[in-house]
Amino acid sequence: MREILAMVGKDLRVLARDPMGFFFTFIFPLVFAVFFGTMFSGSGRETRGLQIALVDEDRSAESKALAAQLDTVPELSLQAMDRAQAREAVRLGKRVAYVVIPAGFGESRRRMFTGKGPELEIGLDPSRKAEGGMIQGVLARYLSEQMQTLFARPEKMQTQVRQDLAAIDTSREVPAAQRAPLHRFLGELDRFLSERQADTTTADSGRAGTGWSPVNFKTTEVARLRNGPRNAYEVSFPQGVLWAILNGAFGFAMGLVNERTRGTLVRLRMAPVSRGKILAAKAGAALLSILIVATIVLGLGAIFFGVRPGSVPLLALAVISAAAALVGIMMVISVSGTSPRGVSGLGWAVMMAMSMTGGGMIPLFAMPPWMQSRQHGEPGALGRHRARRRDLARLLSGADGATVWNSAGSRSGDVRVRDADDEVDASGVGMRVRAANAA
Amino acid sequence: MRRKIGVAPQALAIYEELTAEENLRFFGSLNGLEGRALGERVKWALDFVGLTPRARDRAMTYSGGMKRRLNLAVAVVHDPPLLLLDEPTVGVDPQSRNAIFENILALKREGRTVLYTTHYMEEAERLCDRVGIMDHGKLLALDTVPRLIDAHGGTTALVLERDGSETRVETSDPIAELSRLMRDGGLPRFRLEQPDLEGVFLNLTGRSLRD
Repeated sequence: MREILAMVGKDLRVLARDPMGFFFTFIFPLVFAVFFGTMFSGSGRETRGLQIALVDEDRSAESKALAAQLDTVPELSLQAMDRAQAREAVRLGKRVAYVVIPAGFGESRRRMFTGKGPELEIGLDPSRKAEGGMIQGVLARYLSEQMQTLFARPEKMQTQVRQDLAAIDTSREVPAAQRAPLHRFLGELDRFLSERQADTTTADSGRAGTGWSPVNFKTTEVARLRNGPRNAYEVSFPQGVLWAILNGAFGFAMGLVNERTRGTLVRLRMAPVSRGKILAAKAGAALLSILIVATIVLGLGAIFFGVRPGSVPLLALAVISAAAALVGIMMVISVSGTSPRGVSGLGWAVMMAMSMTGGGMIPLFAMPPWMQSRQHGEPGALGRHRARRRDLARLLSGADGATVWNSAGSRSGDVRVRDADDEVDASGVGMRVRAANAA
Repeated sequence: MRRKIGVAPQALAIYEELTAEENLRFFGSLNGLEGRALGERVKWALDFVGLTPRARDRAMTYSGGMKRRLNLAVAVVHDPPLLLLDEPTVGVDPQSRNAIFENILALKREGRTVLYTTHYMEEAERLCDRVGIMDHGKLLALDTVPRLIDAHGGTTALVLERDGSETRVETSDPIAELSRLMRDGGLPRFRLEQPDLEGVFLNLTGRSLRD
């Protein structure tokens, strides 16, 4: 064991003394992750889900309040436009949809019981019904929250009820037969709100704003896009780790060949150390360097870039498994080649083939079914396995081999939704996430 | 068994990214040295090859001769009784070459067995007690240098200079030949060419070029 540790230490020291090797082993994965993460995040902040154009044709206090509130919704990323611009943006695919707050929205909000009720218009590509459903759900949720706020604050609700009471007799929207019952209902509601207001200001002022609400919501995990990467860094950082794994495994193969060509392997073989120990030490050094880089990259990602692994143990398992498997493959390659060029060529050829068939370069959905199932057995594809799918898929979304190149298509916005089975396919990276849809 | 063997391959089998001290520590530890013993042997090896002043410089900054000396130091750091040195003076400057000769002779005086491979016959004559001549993987002769010369070196040549031209006379008794020349009318300028190990090598392996 002492000999193995000595050889591991030597290999790591040699690596640390090689500026180029050090850069590509320890620095480049981080640069890669930050660069592509930032590039796909636009300004560098977190991506905000569906890109929506918002058209405010009402320009009332209510419409502005709704716009401001929707701007805080994490599932949506809003940009204000006029109707023509919004339509064009959707047509060109720059925005998933547009939402129009029509003229009269504020008035209808103020006359909750005497008008047609507020109406929003959603403009959407017909092929993106799933996103449309999601947008409707989000809007309904936030409008309900506004309603709940009104009921939770009796003085505001009372103001609105009294406006409606005053408008009952003059409103064309209210049939004559319904005016008397509506007077009675709103009168009772006005009295109820007066009592509520008295209660909240005297007895329990610390709990004002809670209590009665028009509807109770039961929160259930719904298929949200955030089941995939929550931001671009959650794609780029795992790919940075993949780079580290590939580079470490490849470096291991080249290291063994270099030992042979520069003659130090003769010395190692002449020393009282078995071949197995020599190989174990080389593999151990590669594995250790990979784990060090992976820890640094993911640690910095978690601290500074909001990368949150679903499960740290599974993450560790996936990294170790993928690294061990690739180092093993590279070990075979390194002993089968006699020159650095030969091993380099063979190594890249194998990794490219694995990337092509493992989902790293070709999206899974584009593969024939037998390849889709077969690729799960590949070392690099380990991370995409569906055991706790979301965690591992998020971790190693780019899979094996040349996902480095693939990352250009791996932006979180490339997510494709199949509304039939709620299967989300981040098509650019060959990642599949089956989201649990309680609905 | 392997711990009793020290090897200096013809290729520079050292890690150029590491310092001389780190190289020696690494190979010493692979050969079972540790702790204080390792430190002492590393220090000895550095002194032995004259690299102590540059012990903490990376090998990549060394001259060819210094690398060769480090190559030798790595072979002896674990104090092996048997040394296999494969052309240890290839491509080095005369000073380093001489230093390596001195090192090898010192190792020899300490009682170590040195198996020295070389194409330079003067190195073999200077360093070796017994010389084996090998060709195409076959051992053609093995003996002390004088015996090899006696057996395979050929005769001594007397080269005479008269009127600007040289005459080569091969003889087994040059003294008798010179006496005869004096009796016959005067002794011209002459020089004696004695057989050497290179002659032995060429006589045994032939003069045709090797692949």
